[in-house]
Amino acid sequence: MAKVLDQRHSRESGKSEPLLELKDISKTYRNGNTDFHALKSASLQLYAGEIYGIIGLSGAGKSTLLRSVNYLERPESGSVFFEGECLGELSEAELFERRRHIGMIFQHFNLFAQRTVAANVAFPLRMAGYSRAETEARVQELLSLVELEDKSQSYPAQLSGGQAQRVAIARALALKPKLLLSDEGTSALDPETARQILLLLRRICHDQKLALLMITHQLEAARLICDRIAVMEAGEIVEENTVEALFLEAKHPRTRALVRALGPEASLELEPVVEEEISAAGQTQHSVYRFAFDPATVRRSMISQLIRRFDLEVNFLEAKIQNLPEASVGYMLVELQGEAAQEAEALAWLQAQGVKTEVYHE
Amino acid sequence: MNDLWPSLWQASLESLYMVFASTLFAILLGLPLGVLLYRSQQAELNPRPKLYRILDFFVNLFRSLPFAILILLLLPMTKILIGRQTGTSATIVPLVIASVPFMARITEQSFLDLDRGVLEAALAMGISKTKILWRVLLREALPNLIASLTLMMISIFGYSAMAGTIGGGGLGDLALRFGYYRKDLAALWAAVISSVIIVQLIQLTGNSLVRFFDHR
Repeated sequence: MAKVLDQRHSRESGKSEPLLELKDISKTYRNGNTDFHALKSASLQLYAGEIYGIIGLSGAGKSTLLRSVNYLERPESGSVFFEGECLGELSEAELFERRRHIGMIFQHFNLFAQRTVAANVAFPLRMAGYSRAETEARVQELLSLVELEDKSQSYPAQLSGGQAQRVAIARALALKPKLLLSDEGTSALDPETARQILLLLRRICHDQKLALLMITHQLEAARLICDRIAVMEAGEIVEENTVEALFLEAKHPRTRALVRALGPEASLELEPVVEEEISAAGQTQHSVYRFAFDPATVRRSMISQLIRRFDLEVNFLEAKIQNLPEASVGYMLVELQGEAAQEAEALAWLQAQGVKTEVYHE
Repeated sequence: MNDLWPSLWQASLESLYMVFASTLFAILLGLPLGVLLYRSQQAELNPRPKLYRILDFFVNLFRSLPFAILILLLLPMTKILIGRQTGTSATIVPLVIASVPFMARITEQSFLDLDRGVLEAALAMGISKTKILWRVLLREALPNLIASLTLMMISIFGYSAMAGTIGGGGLGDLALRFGYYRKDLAALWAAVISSVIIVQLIQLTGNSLVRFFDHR
């Protein structure tokens, strides 16, 4: 587990300068008398090779924020720094040139319906001045990358959703960008296809040191491949953390709601039936504790050692382990019965092992 | 009846000449005008509202003039352009003036009807606006454009029926001269049937072209 976390850490801190930095981005849509504040001073940093997810409900501002990155939406205030350059200060021609270093895929694919798959992927290359021979070679390379070589002469109307998005990915990668933007790239796909596309993206990003900024309203999509996740609500980023930390210790109500919406097995929150047992335990004056296990401690048999070492009755009220792609986290609610001194020693021992303990409060 | 068939053939050729020549100029002048109309109003393409309002006004102006009036108003200009005020070629001047704004509107509308996402994807690729318009959007809008263009050609054919007023010939003129003034019903019907055939051919060709260019 620790090794996995180290890899992630070095990927993040590999460059001390962020590849992309958004500083205090604001955008308001004025509609006569009413103003809709799509973005309120949103900021984030994205590092080279990182996969960063932005989640939130519809209308939270995710799309507007993503589009500010390549200036499809021009921010009213704030700055966008890509590779250290402020995009707002560039001329139109310079901005258009920088966009070639940022690829983008969309929820509804946005392929050129009147061109073949190969022509779609070739298009950015031809526009950038590559020769026919160079273009063809690169198109073959890209189609292999997304596993669609046999569809090169098909038209988008003949493709399934997953295939269409693969073409879109190939097209977005044509000019070897350093950053890929995904605007709800998997939201229009069935769960299995979405999974495949996400795993494809992760593989490509890891192989090519490509950074990915993806927005989605589906937390399960972000959970699958992201290194870090930001939660947006009403135009603001309300929480931001690594995936494990977000699940283990979701702070903001919106984050908790989104995690809960994944289903009981995903959430690390309490079932109603357990709450009764806890109040019952409270009445007998036995202490209820919450033990939180991070990736380093989750798989070690702490509780059996606890019982052997100390003279305590351990009553499990609830336990949940959340298996995330690169690590697991979990917690337990236990009721301890025994002498106060034994309890205190036991808690000290657990803390020394790296388990976080706290008295459980609702 | 003896002079009917040669006249019929002659008139058909005149009608076709008028329709095709006008359409050609309508495309050459009206297509870029339509692209300009689209570009000056589209939010993501650095719109120029003032330019749009001016173009919009003139396009509406010329579309609102009845063709019969347009012929008369343009007689002086026709004289300047081709040296005479009568004849088949003379009719082409008002036909072009009538169809250029028509073509501009068709083009503008075909572009507006496109999925916005295609424009966004093209912008995200960092291609210049001009390339986006002419290398992406035009091809994506082509089936729709051809379908509307086919309708326009048939309208022009309708307008060309009035060519007779300035000695322009054509099937409309034939129908009028033989059918109405000479009360030659056979001639009238011949002219009508020829017109129907021409229009059907235009429509069928248009439909085929749309199918050929549309890969959706």
